[in-house]
Amino acid sequence: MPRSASDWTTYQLTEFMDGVSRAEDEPSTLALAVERAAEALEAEVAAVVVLTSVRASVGFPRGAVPDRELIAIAEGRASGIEVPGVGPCNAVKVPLHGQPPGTLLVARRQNEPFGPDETVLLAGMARVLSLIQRLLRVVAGERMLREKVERQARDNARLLASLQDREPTSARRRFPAAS
Amino acid sequence: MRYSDNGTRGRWVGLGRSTDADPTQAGRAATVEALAGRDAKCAIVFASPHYDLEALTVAIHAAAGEAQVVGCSTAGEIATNGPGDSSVVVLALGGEGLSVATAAAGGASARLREAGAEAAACAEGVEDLPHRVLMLLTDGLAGNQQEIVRGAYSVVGASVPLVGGCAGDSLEMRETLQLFGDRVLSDTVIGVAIASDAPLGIGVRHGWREVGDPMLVTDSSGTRVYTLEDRPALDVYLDRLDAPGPARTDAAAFTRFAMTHPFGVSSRSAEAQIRYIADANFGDRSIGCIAEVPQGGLTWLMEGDSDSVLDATDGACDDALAGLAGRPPLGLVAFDCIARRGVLGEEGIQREIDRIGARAKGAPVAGFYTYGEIARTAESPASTTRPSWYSP
Repeated sequence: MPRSASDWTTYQLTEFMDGVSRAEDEPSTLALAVERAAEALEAEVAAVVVLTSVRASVGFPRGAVPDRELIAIAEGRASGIEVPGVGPCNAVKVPLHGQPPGTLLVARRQNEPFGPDETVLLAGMARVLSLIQRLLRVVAGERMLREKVERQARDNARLLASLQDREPTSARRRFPAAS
Repeated sequence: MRYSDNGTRGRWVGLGRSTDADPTQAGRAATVEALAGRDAKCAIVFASPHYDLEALTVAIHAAAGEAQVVGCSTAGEIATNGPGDSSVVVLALGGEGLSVATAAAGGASARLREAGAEAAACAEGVEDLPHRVLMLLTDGLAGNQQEIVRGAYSVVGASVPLVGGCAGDSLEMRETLQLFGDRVLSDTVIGVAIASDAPLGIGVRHGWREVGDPMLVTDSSGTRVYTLEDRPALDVYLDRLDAPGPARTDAAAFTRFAMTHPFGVSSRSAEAQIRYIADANFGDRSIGCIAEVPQGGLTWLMEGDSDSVLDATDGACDDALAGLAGRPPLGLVAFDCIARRGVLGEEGIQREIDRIGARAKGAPVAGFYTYGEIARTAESPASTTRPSWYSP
Protein backbone atom coordinates (compact mmCIF):
# COMPACT_ATOMS: atom_id res chain seq x y z
CA MET A 1 0.00 0.00 0.00
CA PRO A 2 1.73 3.24 -1.08
CA ARG A 3 1.90 5.70 1.77
CA SER A 4 4.45 7.64 3.71
CA ALA A 5 5.30 6.64 7.26
CA SER A 6 3.93 9.92 8.58
CA ASP A 7 0.60 9.47 6.75
CA TRP A 8 0.27 5.96 8.05
CA THR A 9 1.06 7.05 11.61
CA THR A 10 -1.46 9.88 11.46
CA TYR A 11 -4.29 7.71 10.24
CA GLN A 12 -3.51 4.89 12.63
CA LEU A 13 -3.57 7.37 15.49
CA THR A 14 -6.88 8.78 14.30
CA GLU A 15 -8.37 5.30 14.13
CA PHE A 16 -7.00 4.49 17.56
CA MET A 17 -8.52 7.64 19.04
CA ASP A 18 -11.85 7.00 17.40
CA GLY A 19 -11.95 3.42 18.62
CA VAL A 20 -10.74 3.96 22.17
CA SER A 21 -12.84 7.06 22.84
CA ARG A 22 -16.01 4.97 22.43
CA ALA A 23 -15.40 3.19 25.73
CA GLU A 24 -17.45 4.39 28.66
CA ASP A 25 -15.24 3.51 31.59
CA GLU A 26 -11.59 3.11 32.40
CA PRO A 27 -11.29 -0.71 32.32
CA SER A 28 -12.94 -0.95 28.92
CA THR A 29 -10.82 1.95 27.65
CA LEU A 30 -7.66 0.08 28.61
CA ALA A 31 -8.93 -3.16 27.08
CA LEU A 32 -9.75 -1.39 23.81
CA ALA A 33 -6.44 0.47 23.84
CA VAL A 34 -4.28 -2.64 24.06
CA GLU A 35 -6.36 -4.39 21.43
CA ARG A 36 -6.22 -1.50 18.95
CA ALA A 37 -2.52 -0.86 19.57
CA ALA A 38 -1.72 -4.51 18.88
CA GLU A 39 -3.81 -4.48 15.72
CA ALA A 40 -2.33 -1.26 14.35
CA LEU A 41 1.23 -2.41 14.94
CA GLU A 42 0.47 -6.01 14.01
CA ALA A 43 1.90 -7.00 17.35
CA GLU A 44 1.30 -10.34 18.99
CA VAL A 45 0.98 -8.81 22.43
CA ALA A 46 0.04 -5.49 24.02
CA ALA A 47 -0.40 -4.52 27.66
CA VAL A 48 -0.93 -1.63 30.04
CA VAL A 49 1.06 -1.91 33.24
CA VAL A 50 0.45 0.46 36.15
CA LEU A 51 2.91 0.22 39.01
CA THR A 52 3.21 -3.52 39.56
CA SER A 53 -0.11 -4.49 38.08
CA VAL A 54 -1.08 -5.55 34.54
CA ARG A 55 -4.31 -3.61 34.03
CA ALA A 56 -5.06 -4.88 30.52
CA SER A 57 -3.43 -7.19 28.00
CA VAL A 58 -4.08 -8.99 24.74
CA GLY A 59 -2.29 -11.82 22.96
CA PHE A 60 -2.07 -14.44 25.70
CA PRO A 61 -4.37 -17.40 26.21
CA ARG A 62 -7.16 -16.73 28.68
CA GLY A 63 -5.95 -17.11 32.24
CA ALA A 64 -2.28 -17.31 31.22
CA VAL A 65 -1.09 -13.70 31.24
CA PRO A 66 2.59 -13.63 32.32
CA ASP A 67 2.29 -10.68 34.68
CA ARG A 68 5.86 -10.91 35.93
CA GLU A 69 7.40 -10.78 32.45
CA LEU A 70 5.20 -7.88 31.36
CA ILE A 71 6.05 -5.92 34.50
CA ALA A 72 9.75 -6.60 33.86
CA ILE A 73 9.39 -4.99 30.42
CA ALA A 74 7.52 -2.03 31.91
CA GLU A 75 10.24 -1.56 34.48
CA GLY A 76 12.98 -1.79 31.88
CA ARG A 77 14.39 -5.05 33.23
CA ALA A 78 13.56 -6.94 30.00
CA SER A 79 13.34 -5.96 26.35
CA GLY A 80 11.38 -8.92 25.09
CA ILE A 81 9.06 -11.74 25.98
CA GLU A 82 8.45 -15.35 24.98
CA VAL A 83 4.95 -15.61 23.54
CA PRO A 84 3.48 -19.13 23.49
CA GLY A 85 3.00 -20.37 19.94
CA VAL A 86 5.04 -17.52 18.50
CA GLY A 87 8.41 -17.62 20.23
CA PRO A 88 10.63 -14.78 21.37
CA CYS A 89 9.25 -11.31 20.69
CA ASN A 90 10.82 -7.85 20.84
CA ALA A 91 9.02 -5.32 23.00
CA VAL A 92 8.74 -1.57 22.88
CA LYS A 93 7.26 0.53 25.68
CA VAL A 94 6.16 4.12 26.20
CA PRO A 95 5.03 5.93 29.35
CA LEU A 96 1.43 6.66 30.24
CA HIS A 97 1.23 10.00 31.99
CA GLY A 98 -1.54 9.24 34.42
CA GLN A 99 -1.87 9.22 38.18
CA PRO A 100 -0.29 6.88 39.01
CA PRO A 101 1.89 6.71 35.88
CA GLY A 102 1.96 3.54 33.81
CA THR A 103 3.34 1.93 30.68
CA LEU A 104 1.86 0.95 27.34
CA LEU A 105 3.87 -1.83 25.71
CA VAL A 106 3.65 -4.01 22.62
CA ALA A 107 5.68 -7.04 21.53
CA ARG A 108 6.14 -8.52 18.09
CA ARG A 109 8.03 -11.53 16.72
CA GLN A 110 11.75 -10.96 16.52
CA ASN A 111 12.11 -10.86 12.75
CA GLU A 112 9.87 -7.77 12.63
CA PRO A 113 11.66 -5.12 14.70
CA PHE A 114 9.81 -1.90 15.53
CA GLY A 115 10.75 1.11 13.39
CA PRO A 116 11.05 4.68 14.69
CA ASP A 117 7.71 5.66 13.17
CA GLU A 118 6.04 2.84 15.06
CA THR A 119 7.54 3.95 18.36
CA VAL A 120 6.29 7.48 17.63
CA LEU A 121 2.86 6.06 16.88
CA LEU A 122 2.84 4.10 20.13
CA ALA A 123 3.84 7.24 22.03
CA GLY A 124 0.97 9.07 20.37
CA MET A 125 -1.41 6.31 21.38
CA ALA A 126 -0.15 6.51 24.96
CA ARG A 127 -0.74 10.28 24.98
CA VAL A 128 -4.27 9.83 23.61
CA LEU A 129 -4.95 7.10 26.15
CA SER A 130 -3.70 9.30 29.02
CA LEU A 131 -5.97 12.14 27.89
CA ILE A 132 -8.99 9.87 27.60
CA GLN A 133 -8.27 8.39 31.04
CA ARG A 134 -8.03 11.88 32.51
CA LEU A 135 -11.28 12.86 30.81
CA LEU A 136 -13.01 9.73 32.09
CA ARG A 137 -11.81 10.48 35.62
CA VAL A 138 -13.09 14.07 35.41
CA VAL A 139 -16.42 12.80 34.10
CA ALA A 140 -16.53 10.09 36.79
CA GLY A 141 -15.70 12.71 39.46
CA GLU A 142 -18.41 15.04 38.20
CA ARG A 143 -20.88 12.17 38.05
CA MET A 144 -20.08 11.24 41.66
CA LEU A 145 -20.42 14.86 42.71
CA ARG A 146 -23.72 15.20 40.89
CA GLU A 147 -25.01 11.97 42.41
CA LYS A 148 -23.94 13.21 45.84
CA VAL A 149 -25.73 16.53 45.33
CA GLU A 150 -28.81 14.76 44.01
CA ARG A 151 -28.74 12.34 46.95
CA GLN A 152 -28.40 15.28 49.33
CA ALA A 153 -31.28 17.04 47.63
CA ARG A 154 -33.43 13.91 47.94
CA ASP A 155 -32.52 13.60 51.62
CA ASN A 156 -33.34 17.26 52.21
CA ALA A 157 -36.66 16.86 50.42
CA ARG A 158 -37.49 13.78 52.48
CA LEU A 159 -36.53 15.61 55.69
CA LEU A 160 -38.62 18.61 54.75
CA ALA A 161 -41.58 16.41 53.93
CA SER A 162 -41.14 14.60 57.21
CA LEU A 163 -41.02 17.87 59.11
CA GLN A 164 -44.09 19.13 57.30
CA ASP A 165 -45.90 15.93 58.24
CA ARG A 166 -45.01 16.41 61.86
CA GLU A 167 -45.71 20.13 62.03
CA PRO A 168 -49.47 20.01 62.73
CA THR A 169 -48.91 17.56 65.57
CA SER A 170 -46.15 19.66 67.03
CA ALA A 171 -48.23 22.75 66.62
CA ARG A 172 -51.14 21.04 68.35
CA ARG A 173 -48.84 20.07 71.18
CA ARG A 174 -47.59 23.60 71.62
CA PHE A 175 -50.95 25.22 71.07
CA PRO A 176 -53.62 22.81 72.29
CA ALA A 177 -57.01 23.63 70.98
CA ALA A 178 -59.29 25.32 73.47
CA SER A 179 -62.13 23.15 74.62
CA MET B 1 -12.33 -41.62 -3.51
CA ARG B 2 -9.65 -38.99 -2.97
CA TYR B 3 -7.64 -39.12 0.17
CA SER B 4 -4.08 -39.25 1.33
CA ASP B 5 -2.51 -41.27 4.07
CA ASN B 6 1.23 -41.50 4.43
CA GLY B 7 1.03 -43.58 7.57
CA THR B 8 2.65 -41.08 9.92
CA ARG B 9 0.93 -41.99 13.16
CA GLY B 10 -2.04 -42.79 10.96
CA ARG B 11 -3.31 -39.27 10.48
CA TRP B 12 -5.51 -39.00 7.45
CA VAL B 13 -7.68 -36.60 5.52
CA GLY B 14 -10.48 -37.87 3.33
CA LEU B 15 -12.64 -36.04 0.83
CA GLY B 16 -16.12 -36.78 -0.38
CA ARG B 17 -18.38 -34.87 -2.71
CA SER B 18 -21.83 -35.40 -4.04
CA THR B 19 -23.98 -33.53 -6.50
CA ASP B 20 -26.99 -35.76 -5.92
CA ALA B 21 -30.07 -33.56 -5.86
CA ASP B 22 -31.55 -35.53 -2.97
CA PRO B 23 -30.10 -34.10 0.28
CA THR B 24 -30.21 -37.37 2.21
CA GLN B 25 -28.52 -39.29 -0.58
CA ALA B 26 -25.99 -36.52 -1.16
CA GLY B 27 -25.07 -36.20 2.52
CA ARG B 28 -24.69 -39.93 2.97
CA ALA B 29 -22.69 -40.44 -0.24
CA ALA B 30 -20.22 -37.60 0.42
CA THR B 31 -19.65 -38.73 4.00
CA VAL B 32 -19.17 -42.37 3.14
CA GLU B 33 -16.68 -41.39 0.45
CA ALA B 34 -14.76 -39.11 2.83
CA LEU B 35 -14.58 -41.67 5.64
CA ALA B 36 -13.88 -44.65 3.41
CA GLY B 37 -14.68 -47.00 6.26
CA ARG B 38 -12.42 -45.26 8.78
CA ASP B 39 -13.33 -43.68 12.10
CA ALA B 40 -13.12 -39.92 11.68
CA LYS B 41 -12.67 -37.39 14.43
CA CYS B 42 -14.27 -34.57 12.53
CA ALA B 43 -16.28 -34.06 9.36
CA ILE B 44 -16.17 -30.54 7.93
CA VAL B 45 -19.04 -29.86 5.56
CA PHE B 46 -19.39 -27.19 2.90
CA ALA B 47 -22.84 -27.33 1.37
CA SER B 48 -24.86 -25.52 -1.23
CA PRO B 49 -27.72 -23.55 0.35
CA HIS B 50 -29.95 -24.95 -2.39
CA TYR B 51 -30.18 -28.20 -0.44
CA ASP B 52 -32.63 -28.93 2.33
CA LEU B 53 -29.82 -28.57 4.85
CA GLU B 54 -31.81 -30.16 7.68
CA ALA B 55 -32.09 -33.43 5.77
CA LEU B 56 -28.52 -33.17 4.51
CA THR B 57 -27.05 -32.59 7.96
CA VAL B 58 -29.02 -35.39 9.58
CA ALA B 59 -27.76 -37.76 6.86
CA ILE B 60 -24.14 -36.66 7.28
CA HIS B 61 -24.34 -36.93 11.06
CA ALA B 62 -25.78 -40.42 10.81
CA ALA B 63 -23.09 -41.56 8.35
CA ALA B 64 -20.20 -39.91 10.21
CA GLY B 65 -20.29 -42.21 13.23
CA GLU B 66 -18.54 -40.65 16.22
CA ALA B 67 -17.07 -37.80 14.14
CA GLN B 68 -17.94 -34.28 15.17
CA VAL B 69 -19.84 -32.67 12.31
CA VAL B 70 -19.38 -28.97 11.57
CA GLY B 71 -19.90 -26.89 8.47
CA CYS B 72 -21.74 -24.14 6.71
CA SER B 73 -23.63 -23.04 3.64
CA THR B 74 -21.58 -21.50 0.85
CA ALA B 75 -21.43 -19.19 -2.12
CA GLY B 76 -19.91 -22.10 -4.05
CA GLU B 77 -18.17 -25.28 -2.97
CA ILE B 78 -14.58 -26.24 -3.69
CA ALA B 79 -13.21 -29.76 -4.04
CA THR B 80 -10.23 -31.31 -5.78
CA ASN B 81 -12.23 -31.89 -8.94
CA GLY B 82 -13.29 -28.27 -9.18
CA PRO B 83 -15.78 -25.69 -7.99
CA GLY B 84 -19.53 -26.20 -7.84
CA ASP B 85 -22.78 -24.55 -6.85
CA SER B 86 -25.08 -27.45 -6.16
CA SER B 87 -22.96 -29.89 -4.25
CA VAL B 88 -21.93 -30.95 -0.79
CA VAL B 89 -18.26 -31.41 0.11
CA VAL B 90 -17.22 -33.35 3.20
CA LEU B 91 -13.67 -33.28 4.50
CA ALA B 92 -12.99 -35.91 7.15
CA LEU B 93 -10.02 -35.82 9.54
CA GLY B 94 -8.87 -38.74 11.59
CA GLY B 95 -6.07 -40.86 12.98
CA GLU B 96 -3.65 -40.77 15.86
CA GLY B 97 -1.71 -37.62 16.63
CA LEU B 98 -4.74 -35.53 15.88
CA SER B 99 -7.24 -34.04 18.29
CA VAL B 100 -10.37 -32.06 17.47
CA ALA B 101 -12.79 -30.11 19.65
CA THR B 102 -15.76 -28.08 18.46
CA ALA B 103 -18.20 -25.50 19.80
CA ALA B 104 -21.13 -23.44 18.53
CA ALA B 105 -22.11 -20.02 19.81
CA GLY B 106 -25.53 -18.76 18.77
CA GLY B 107 -27.16 -15.35 18.78
CA ALA B 108 -23.93 -13.95 17.34
CA SER B 109 -25.25 -10.75 15.80
CA ALA B 110 -26.25 -9.41 19.21
CA ARG B 111 -22.95 -10.36 20.86
CA LEU B 112 -20.27 -10.79 18.22
CA ARG B 113 -17.28 -10.63 20.53
CA GLU B 114 -18.79 -12.96 23.11
CA ALA B 115 -19.79 -15.43 20.41
CA GLY B 116 -16.23 -15.42 19.06
CA ALA B 117 -14.88 -16.04 22.55
CA GLU B 118 -17.41 -18.77 23.25
CA ALA B 119 -16.60 -20.61 20.01
CA ALA B 120 -12.86 -20.23 20.62
CA ALA B 121 -13.16 -21.82 24.05
CA CYS B 122 -13.14 -25.21 22.30
CA ALA B 123 -9.38 -24.69 21.87
CA GLU B 124 -9.09 -25.42 25.57
CA GLY B 125 -10.56 -28.86 24.94
CA VAL B 126 -8.03 -30.31 22.50
CA GLU B 127 -5.09 -32.46 23.49
CA ASP B 128 -1.83 -30.70 24.24
CA LEU B 129 -0.16 -31.36 20.88
CA PRO B 130 2.55 -29.07 19.50
CA HIS B 131 0.64 -27.66 16.50
CA ARG B 132 -2.78 -26.14 16.73
CA VAL B 133 -5.19 -24.08 14.71
CA LEU B 134 -8.63 -22.67 15.43
CA MET B 135 -11.03 -22.67 12.52
CA LEU B 136 -14.01 -20.33 12.70
CA LEU B 137 -17.05 -20.70 10.47
CA THR B 138 -19.22 -17.64 10.92
CA ASP B 139 -22.37 -15.99 9.66
CA GLY B 140 -21.06 -13.34 7.29
CA LEU B 141 -24.31 -11.40 7.57
CA ALA B 142 -24.24 -11.23 11.39
CA GLY B 143 -22.23 -8.02 11.61
CA ASN B 144 -18.64 -6.92 12.14
CA GLN B 145 -16.56 -10.06 11.73
CA GLN B 146 -13.57 -8.29 13.25
CA GLU B 147 -15.37 -8.39 16.59
CA ILE B 148 -15.70 -12.18 16.32
CA VAL B 149 -11.96 -12.44 15.66
CA ARG B 150 -11.26 -10.14 18.61
CA GLY B 151 -13.38 -12.30 20.85
CA ALA B 152 -11.59 -15.45 19.71
CA TYR B 153 -8.20 -13.80 20.11
CA SER B 154 -9.09 -12.80 23.65
CA VAL B 155 -9.36 -16.51 24.48
CA VAL B 156 -6.50 -18.11 22.56
CA GLY B 157 -4.16 -15.15 22.11
CA ALA B 158 -1.31 -15.44 19.67
CA SER B 159 -0.72 -19.04 20.71
CA VAL B 160 -3.22 -20.50 18.25
CA PRO B 161 -3.46 -19.29 14.64
CA LEU B 162 -6.96 -18.44 13.47
CA VAL B 163 -8.37 -19.39 10.08
CA GLY B 164 -11.84 -19.63 8.68
CA GLY B 165 -14.52 -18.10 6.60
CA CYS B 166 -17.94 -16.53 6.57
CA ALA B 167 -20.72 -18.78 5.34
CA GLY B 168 -22.51 -17.80 2.14
CA ASP B 169 -25.95 -18.08 0.62
CA SER B 170 -25.17 -18.00 -3.10
CA LEU B 171 -25.19 -14.19 -3.08
CA GLU B 172 -28.80 -13.99 -1.93
CA MET B 173 -27.51 -12.01 1.06
CA ARG B 174 -30.49 -13.11 3.16
CA GLU B 175 -29.41 -15.83 5.55
CA THR B 176 -26.38 -18.06 5.90
CA LEU B 177 -26.48 -21.34 7.82
CA GLN B 178 -24.07 -23.17 10.05
CA LEU B 179 -24.04 -26.93 10.65
CA PHE B 180 -23.25 -28.42 14.03
CA GLY B 181 -23.82 -32.06 14.93
CA ASP B 182 -27.17 -32.92 13.39
CA ARG B 183 -28.48 -29.37 13.64
CA VAL B 184 -28.72 -26.48 11.20
CA LEU B 185 -28.18 -23.13 12.86
CA SER B 186 -28.10 -19.50 11.81
CA ASP B 187 -26.50 -16.41 13.32
CA THR B 188 -23.90 -18.75 14.82
CA VAL B 189 -20.12 -18.94 15.16
CA ILE B 190 -18.69 -22.46 14.88
CA GLY B 191 -15.30 -23.11 16.43
CA VAL B 192 -13.17 -26.08 15.36
CA ALA B 193 -9.94 -26.50 17.30
CA ILE B 194 -7.50 -28.88 15.63
CA ALA B 195 -4.33 -30.02 17.35
CA SER B 196 -1.72 -32.14 15.63
CA ASP B 197 1.74 -33.45 16.29
CA ALA B 198 2.71 -32.30 12.78
CA PRO B 199 2.78 -28.75 11.41
CA LEU B 200 -0.27 -26.94 10.07
CA GLY B 201 0.62 -24.38 7.41
CA ILE B 202 -1.38 -21.26 6.60
CA GLY B 203 -1.03 -18.97 3.60
CA VAL B 204 -2.80 -15.67 3.12
CA ARG B 205 -2.93 -13.57 -0.07
CA HIS B 206 -5.65 -11.70 -1.93
CA GLY B 207 -4.30 -10.33 -5.21
CA TRP B 208 -6.19 -7.03 -5.14
CA ARG B 209 -4.56 -3.68 -5.90
CA GLU B 210 -5.73 -0.19 -5.12
CA VAL B 211 -7.34 2.07 -7.73
CA GLY B 212 -6.87 5.82 -7.60
CA ASP B 213 -6.32 7.98 -4.57
CA PRO B 214 -7.23 6.90 -1.06
CA MET B 215 -10.38 8.26 0.52
CA LEU B 216 -10.80 9.44 4.07
CA VAL B 217 -13.56 7.61 5.94
CA THR B 218 -15.31 10.62 7.43
CA ASP B 219 -18.30 8.81 8.94
CA SER B 220 -18.60 5.12 9.68
CA SER B 221 -19.94 2.91 12.41
CA GLY B 222 -18.77 -0.67 12.55
CA THR B 223 -19.38 -2.22 9.16
CA ARG B 224 -21.46 0.67 7.82
CA VAL B 225 -19.76 3.47 5.87
CA TYR B 226 -21.85 6.63 5.69
CA THR B 227 -19.51 9.20 4.18
CA LEU B 228 -16.22 9.27 2.34
CA GLU B 229 -14.47 12.63 2.03
CA ASP B 230 -17.61 14.11 3.65
CA ARG B 231 -19.83 12.96 0.78
CA PRO B 232 -22.36 10.10 0.89
CA ALA B 233 -20.30 6.94 0.62
CA LEU B 234 -22.52 5.31 -1.98
CA ASP B 235 -22.33 8.34 -4.29
CA VAL B 236 -18.55 8.51 -4.03
CA TYR B 237 -18.25 4.77 -4.65
CA LEU B 238 -20.55 4.71 -7.68
CA ASP B 239 -19.08 7.86 -9.21
CA ARG B 240 -15.47 6.85 -8.78
CA LEU B 241 -16.10 3.50 -10.41
CA ASP B 242 -18.43 4.93 -13.04
CA ALA B 243 -20.89 2.23 -12.03
CA PRO B 244 -23.50 1.06 -14.56
CA GLY B 245 -27.11 2.22 -14.22
CA PRO B 246 -28.65 -0.89 -12.62
CA ALA B 247 -26.07 -0.88 -9.80
CA ARG B 248 -27.25 2.62 -8.91
CA THR B 249 -30.83 1.64 -8.22
CA ASP B 250 -31.11 -2.10 -7.73
CA ALA B 251 -29.83 -3.84 -4.59
CA ALA B 252 -28.99 -7.16 -6.25
CA ALA B 253 -27.28 -5.45 -9.18
CA PHE B 254 -25.25 -3.38 -6.74
CA THR B 255 -24.13 -6.46 -4.81
CA ARG B 256 -23.01 -8.14 -8.02
CA PHE B 257 -21.15 -5.02 -9.12
CA ALA B 258 -19.55 -4.44 -5.72
CA MET B 259 -18.40 -8.06 -5.57
CA THR B 260 -15.45 -7.20 -7.82
CA HIS B 261 -14.77 -3.79 -6.26
CA PRO B 262 -14.13 -4.22 -2.54
CA PHE B 263 -12.67 -1.63 -0.23
CA GLY B 264 -9.12 -1.91 1.00
CA VAL B 265 -8.19 -0.50 4.38
CA SER B 266 -4.77 0.67 5.36
CA SER B 267 -2.56 -1.70 7.29
CA ARG B 268 1.05 -1.85 8.37
CA SER B 269 1.71 -4.70 5.93
CA ALA B 270 2.28 -4.18 2.24
CA GLU B 271 -1.11 -5.70 1.38
CA ALA B 272 -4.22 -3.76 2.33
CA GLN B 273 -6.91 -5.59 4.22
CA ILE B 274 -9.92 -6.26 2.02
CA ARG B 275 -13.45 -5.36 3.00
CA TYR B 276 -16.02 -7.17 0.91
CA ILE B 277 -19.00 -4.91 0.23
CA ALA B 278 -22.29 -6.61 1.01
CA ASP B 279 -24.99 -4.02 0.37
CA ALA B 280 -25.99 -0.46 -0.31
CA ASN B 281 -28.69 1.59 1.34
CA PHE B 282 -30.22 3.68 -1.42
CA GLY B 283 -32.06 5.76 1.17
CA ASP B 284 -29.27 7.06 3.36
CA ARG B 285 -26.60 6.43 0.67
CA SER B 286 -24.47 4.26 2.94
CA ILE B 287 -22.51 1.10 2.14
CA GLY B 288 -22.44 -2.07 4.27
CA CYS B 289 -19.31 -4.18 4.52
CA ILE B 290 -18.64 -7.59 6.05
CA ALA B 291 -16.05 -6.23 8.48
CA GLU B 292 -15.22 -2.93 10.11
CA VAL B 293 -14.11 0.12 8.13
CA PRO B 294 -12.72 2.45 10.79
CA GLN B 295 -13.78 6.06 10.88
CA GLY B 296 -10.85 8.42 10.49
CA GLY B 297 -8.87 5.90 8.46
CA LEU B 298 -8.10 5.66 4.79
CA THR B 299 -9.77 3.35 2.34
CA TRP B 300 -9.06 2.51 -1.26
CA LEU B 301 -11.18 1.11 -4.04
CA MET B 302 -9.61 -2.17 -5.03
CA GLU B 303 -9.52 -4.12 -8.25
CA GLY B 304 -8.02 -7.34 -9.44
CA ASP B 305 -7.68 -9.34 -12.60
CA SER B 306 -7.32 -13.01 -13.33
CA ASP B 307 -3.54 -12.88 -13.25
CA SER B 308 -3.26 -11.04 -9.95
CA VAL B 309 -5.88 -13.22 -8.29
CA LEU B 310 -4.36 -16.47 -9.53
CA ASP B 311 -0.87 -15.31 -8.54
CA ALA B 312 -2.25 -14.74 -5.06
CA THR B 313 -3.71 -18.25 -5.07
CA ASP B 314 -0.30 -19.69 -5.93
CA GLY B 315 1.37 -17.52 -3.31
CA ALA B 316 -1.05 -18.51 -0.57
CA CYS B 317 -0.63 -22.21 -1.39
CA ASP B 318 3.16 -21.88 -1.39
CA ASP B 319 3.10 -20.06 1.95
CA ALA B 320 0.84 -22.72 3.44
CA LEU B 321 3.05 -25.53 2.17
CA ALA B 322 6.19 -23.76 3.40
CA GLY B 323 4.75 -24.01 6.90
CA LEU B 324 4.88 -27.81 6.72
CA ALA B 325 8.64 -27.94 7.13
CA GLY B 326 9.17 -29.97 3.98
CA ARG B 327 6.47 -32.57 4.62
CA PRO B 328 3.92 -33.29 1.92
CA PRO B 329 0.41 -32.05 2.66
CA LEU B 330 -2.30 -34.44 3.75
CA GLY B 331 -5.02 -32.09 2.65
CA LEU B 332 -5.75 -28.49 1.86
CA VAL B 333 -8.67 -26.29 2.90
CA ALA B 334 -9.39 -23.14 0.89
CA PHE B 335 -11.41 -20.21 2.19
CA ASP B 336 -11.75 -18.22 -0.99
CA CYS B 337 -13.51 -14.88 -1.26
CA ILE B 338 -16.60 -14.63 -3.42
CA ALA B 339 -15.11 -11.38 -4.75
CA ARG B 340 -12.21 -13.32 -6.21
CA ARG B 341 -14.70 -15.65 -7.84
CA GLY B 342 -16.32 -12.60 -9.39
CA VAL B 343 -13.02 -11.56 -10.95
CA LEU B 344 -12.11 -15.04 -12.18
CA GLY B 345 -15.46 -16.01 -13.63
CA GLU B 346 -16.64 -19.58 -14.06
CA GLU B 347 -13.72 -20.66 -16.23
CA GLY B 348 -11.23 -18.91 -14.02
CA ILE B 349 -12.34 -20.64 -10.83
CA GLN B 350 -11.85 -24.03 -12.46
CA ARG B 351 -8.30 -22.94 -13.34
CA GLU B 352 -7.81 -21.72 -9.80
CA ILE B 353 -8.87 -25.02 -8.24
CA ASP B 354 -6.69 -26.89 -10.73
CA ARG B 355 -3.71 -24.81 -9.61
CA ILE B 356 -4.45 -25.48 -5.96
CA GLY B 357 -4.80 -29.18 -6.76
CA ALA B 358 -1.46 -29.19 -8.58
CA ARG B 359 0.26 -27.73 -5.53
CA ALA B 360 -1.53 -30.18 -3.25
CA LYS B 361 0.20 -32.99 -5.19
CA GLY B 362 -2.61 -35.47 -4.85
CA ALA B 363 -3.77 -34.45 -1.38
CA PRO B 364 -7.48 -33.63 -1.20
CA VAL B 365 -8.63 -30.05 -1.56
CA ALA B 366 -11.83 -28.79 0.05
CA GLY B 367 -13.25 -25.38 0.75
CA PHE B 368 -15.82 -22.83 -0.23
CA TYR B 369 -16.41 -19.38 -1.62
CA THR B 370 -16.97 -17.13 1.34
CA TYR B 371 -18.40 -13.77 2.32
CA GLY B 372 -15.15 -12.99 4.12
CA GLU B 373 -12.11 -14.83 5.39
CA ILE B 374 -10.43 -15.06 8.74
CA ALA B 375 -6.71 -15.52 9.23
CA ARG B 376 -4.69 -14.43 12.18
CA THR B 377 -1.20 -15.86 12.28
CA ALA B 378 2.16 -14.55 13.42
CA GLU B 379 3.06 -14.10 9.75
CA SER B 380 -0.26 -12.55 8.86
CA PRO B 381 -1.83 -10.79 11.81
CA ALA B 382 -4.76 -9.42 9.85
CA SER B 383 -7.95 -10.95 8.59
CA THR B 384 -9.20 -11.54 5.06
CA THR B 385 -8.70 -13.87 2.01
CA ARG B 386 -6.78 -17.15 2.07
CA PRO B 387 -6.20 -20.85 1.65
CA SER B 388 -4.70 -22.89 4.44
CA TRP B 389 -3.29 -26.22 5.11
CA TYR B 390 -2.71 -29.63 6.70
CA SER B 391 0.29 -31.87 6.83
CA PRO B 392 1.20 -35.24 8.30
